Amino acid sequence: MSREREHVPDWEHLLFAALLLAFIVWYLWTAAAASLTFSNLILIAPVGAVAAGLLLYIASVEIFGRMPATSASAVQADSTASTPHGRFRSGSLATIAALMGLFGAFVVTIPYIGFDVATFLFVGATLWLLGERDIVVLLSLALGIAVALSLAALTLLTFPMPMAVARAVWSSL
Amino acid sequence: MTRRITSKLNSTAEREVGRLVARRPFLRMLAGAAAMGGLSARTAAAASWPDHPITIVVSTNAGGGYDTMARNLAPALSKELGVPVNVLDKPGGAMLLGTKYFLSLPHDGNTLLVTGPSPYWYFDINKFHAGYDLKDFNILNVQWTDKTGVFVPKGGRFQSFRAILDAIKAQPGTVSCGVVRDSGEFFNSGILLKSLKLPLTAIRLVTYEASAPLRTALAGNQLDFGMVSAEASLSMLSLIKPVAVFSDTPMEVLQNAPTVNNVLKPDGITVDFVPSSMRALVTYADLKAKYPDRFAKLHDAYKKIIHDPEFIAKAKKQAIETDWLGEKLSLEKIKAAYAIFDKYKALLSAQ
Amino acid sequence: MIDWQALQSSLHLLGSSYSAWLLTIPGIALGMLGGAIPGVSSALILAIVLPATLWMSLLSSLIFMTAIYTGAAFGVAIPAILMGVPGSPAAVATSFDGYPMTQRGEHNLALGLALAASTLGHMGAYVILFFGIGVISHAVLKLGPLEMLLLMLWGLTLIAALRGRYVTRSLVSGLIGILIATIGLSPRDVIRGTFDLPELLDGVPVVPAMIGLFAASELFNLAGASYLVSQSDLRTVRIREIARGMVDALRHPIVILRGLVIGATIGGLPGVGAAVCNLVSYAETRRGDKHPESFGKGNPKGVIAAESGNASSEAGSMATLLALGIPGGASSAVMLAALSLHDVTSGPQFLDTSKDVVYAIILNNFVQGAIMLALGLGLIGLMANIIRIPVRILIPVILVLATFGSYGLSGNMAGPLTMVVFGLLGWLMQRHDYSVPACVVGLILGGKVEANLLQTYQISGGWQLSYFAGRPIAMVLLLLLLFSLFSRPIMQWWRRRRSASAMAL
Repeated sequence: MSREREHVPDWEHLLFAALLLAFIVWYLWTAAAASLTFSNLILIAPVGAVAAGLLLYIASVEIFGRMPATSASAVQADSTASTPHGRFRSGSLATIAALMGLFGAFVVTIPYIGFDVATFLFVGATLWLLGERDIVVLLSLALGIAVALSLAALTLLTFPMPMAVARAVWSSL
Repeated sequence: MTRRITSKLNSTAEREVGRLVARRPFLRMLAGAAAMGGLSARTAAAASWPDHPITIVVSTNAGGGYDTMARNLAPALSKELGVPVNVLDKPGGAMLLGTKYFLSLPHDGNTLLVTGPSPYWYFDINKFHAGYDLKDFNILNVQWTDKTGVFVPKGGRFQSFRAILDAIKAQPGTVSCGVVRDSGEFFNSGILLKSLKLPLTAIRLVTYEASAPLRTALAGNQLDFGMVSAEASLSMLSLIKPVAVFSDTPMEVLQNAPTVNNVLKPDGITVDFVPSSMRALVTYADLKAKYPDRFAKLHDAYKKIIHDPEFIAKAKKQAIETDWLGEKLSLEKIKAAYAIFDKYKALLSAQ
Repeated sequence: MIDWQALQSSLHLLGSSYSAWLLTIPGIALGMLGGAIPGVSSALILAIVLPATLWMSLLSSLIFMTAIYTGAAFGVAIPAILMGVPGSPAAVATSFDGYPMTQRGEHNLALGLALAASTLGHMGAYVILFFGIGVISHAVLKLGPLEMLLLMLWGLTLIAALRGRYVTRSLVSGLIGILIATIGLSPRDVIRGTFDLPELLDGVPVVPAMIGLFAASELFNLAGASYLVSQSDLRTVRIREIARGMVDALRHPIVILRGLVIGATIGGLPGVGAAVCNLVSYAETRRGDKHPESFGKGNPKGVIAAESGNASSEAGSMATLLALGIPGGASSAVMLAALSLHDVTSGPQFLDTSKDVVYAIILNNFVQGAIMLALGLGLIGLMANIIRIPVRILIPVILVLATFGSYGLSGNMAGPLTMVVFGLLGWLMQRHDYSVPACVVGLILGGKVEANLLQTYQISGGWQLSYFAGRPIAMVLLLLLLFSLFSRPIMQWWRRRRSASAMAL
């Protein structure tokens, strides 16, 4: 009762699992370094150990495949090998990565170029990335959203949101 | 090095935010009667400073003693200075984030800080590497000094402080005591045990994140006793009983429970102790030098309010104290507390 | 149990206070609209309106605030159902079954179910509050760290129930969620894993983290899709179907009742909020169901359970706030500030001296339920049109709104940055089948589990048995925990043995 096809390790998954493992090890290391006491480690030590152990098990399954004995999990392993990442709908990996990158850039640049400008650029760029080609629609949506949210930030929030021009414009009205 | 928008626009930014706060749609909608005197728009005759709203930053969250003190002070201050005064809660990291935020704003007198230089700043500076120091600030006044009270649940195992002390000595490790982590009480419990020449494990010290859960635990008879800020516990007096107070004299509001040193007299011991919370109104160290007139205005307005009998009565209704120590005495008291903290610094890393 | 005199005086209060009634409708509307924006929680809205309550009477301000709270409890379900992005942690479990229903074109039904469950849960819990506010608050006092620990563990067992295809990977998710929840100051003041950033001293901010984890899983993955509902003929808003959903909810009274009781009782515990009640109610309903595997794929009972749980938690937290003066979470802390703004010292004596105010709030909340039905129907009708907006417009708008919301609460970029980091993490997790909901459960409960575990250790003098022996409530909770964990497998094993022995004959 063996597998029907050769098991191909999913290297992306392994990388991710390794990342998680690295986090656990790093976290436990710094926590123990800060204070090697019972009260400090009472929860995170066992939790971290179990999680690390599970990750090692998962990694070994990924590399070596499952034992033929467990038929149910063999079915699962097969389906893993056949449909590696069929989770998301239709966006290509490149589009998704670009979207994530844009979002990251948006958040990081807010303190430097202001929420108003950052929102305008982000909405415009994202609309373009996701397929909006009508320039009028694109620019008006980007402008509209940037204006609306900047207004909300200026009037409602108790903390001053970094702005480039919105504040000056608003006060001159 | 990139210039952040915030630093470039901060002075104008704060002004704009302040003006907008006065114009907030909500306030307009609901401001039927601006009966809260002083919260009206700028006075026509304001020729000099202050010419726009003042913000009091509170370095802890809404509903606590600091927040209450600030919100109680704001209307009176507003009336004196003739501009709206708003309260902004900025909690986080044992007062660290609020204090750092305060420091990041322009040092122009338009922002004040209500915080706890003792004990919180001590922890911030010495344990959390806050990066600021007492000398960065000017403590206008420690308005409300709280003392540590020793409380027991009504119907609990022990009903007097003497009984507690005897039990700790007779059966060490069986009596549970609740304190808030990062607090004066945490220190006071350690100091007490050290003075009694007992190991720290003589009591089962149970640490809580804030005083509200500690008071709840006491009220529910989960602990044998607890050490928590006295005045903040007044609302629970129907469920918990004060049996001693870390103070030089008994407190009337605590049903005149004896002072700790009084209870310890037969043993011939006197203990050091730190106050529970010292709630202060703070401004920047360099304000006096940069804007002496603004500083004077703030200082005098605040001093006048604190001595106003009407204000005192109003504050009393909320159990808020209205001490006037002034800059010099306030700083002295804080430094005295820090000295005791330093003396027992080892407790900071104790189990 | 009912103080008739206070009741009479409360009716009088309500009858004479027009402003209280005038504020109820805008309050609910505000809560619903705000809650529907992912990242904007009820705590944020309450913090914004707090200064305005200065102009209101005590009763009006409390009614206004509870109205916002009520509205938000339902509002957060709207994006959870329509986009799989919960408006706040309080609607995490709602999205588990609500979003799959939308993907099948059953969004109208799901929204109707949520509205009805939310309303019934809310009103039912206030009925319990009306009769039992004293009992509830006293019960809250009786729970020590051991009991709280058992309750939290009960919540954690959810992780096992929320697994995706791989049990091991979901366990890892949950455990890592717990670890992340411990970042920051430990209960004994040890700084763990903060990269020396003071913003992380209080831990990773949960709401932005959760928005990141869920938003990423769904929004990034939607990058290639055109609309949320792929079949165009199903992409309609039909009020009739929404109403049918509302009526359908009534066919599952036990589910609603279960959520109601859970929220009204444990919702009042400090630190236990709508998020935990939402999850626990969902988990318990799933556990007790004949077909637990149908949950997570669009089972209406999942939506009903989740919404009933989170709506009823408001009553629970009002119980501890009014009867004990203890805030259960960020939202009730703001209400506490409102109380002090009106020169009220909250605490046990508040219940004694101002029972009429308390009754007035409770009675008003009954009516709030009815108002919410009407307003909710209108709002859903409006907001369900989101599914007709092309995804390429929705994605940037939601992301910017979420950034706005996560900045608003903390006032610094820690919120939005957390959202980005967890967005990446959530996407990676989904890609490799590591259950995101399990991670969220760990994140929400992890810190409290550790705090209570540590306190139990401290208070029992290092696990002295004498402490555990004297706590009957804990024993009961432990039995309940074991029962809900193992009753099902044991029954199945028993049945198999019986059929095996029957066959052997």
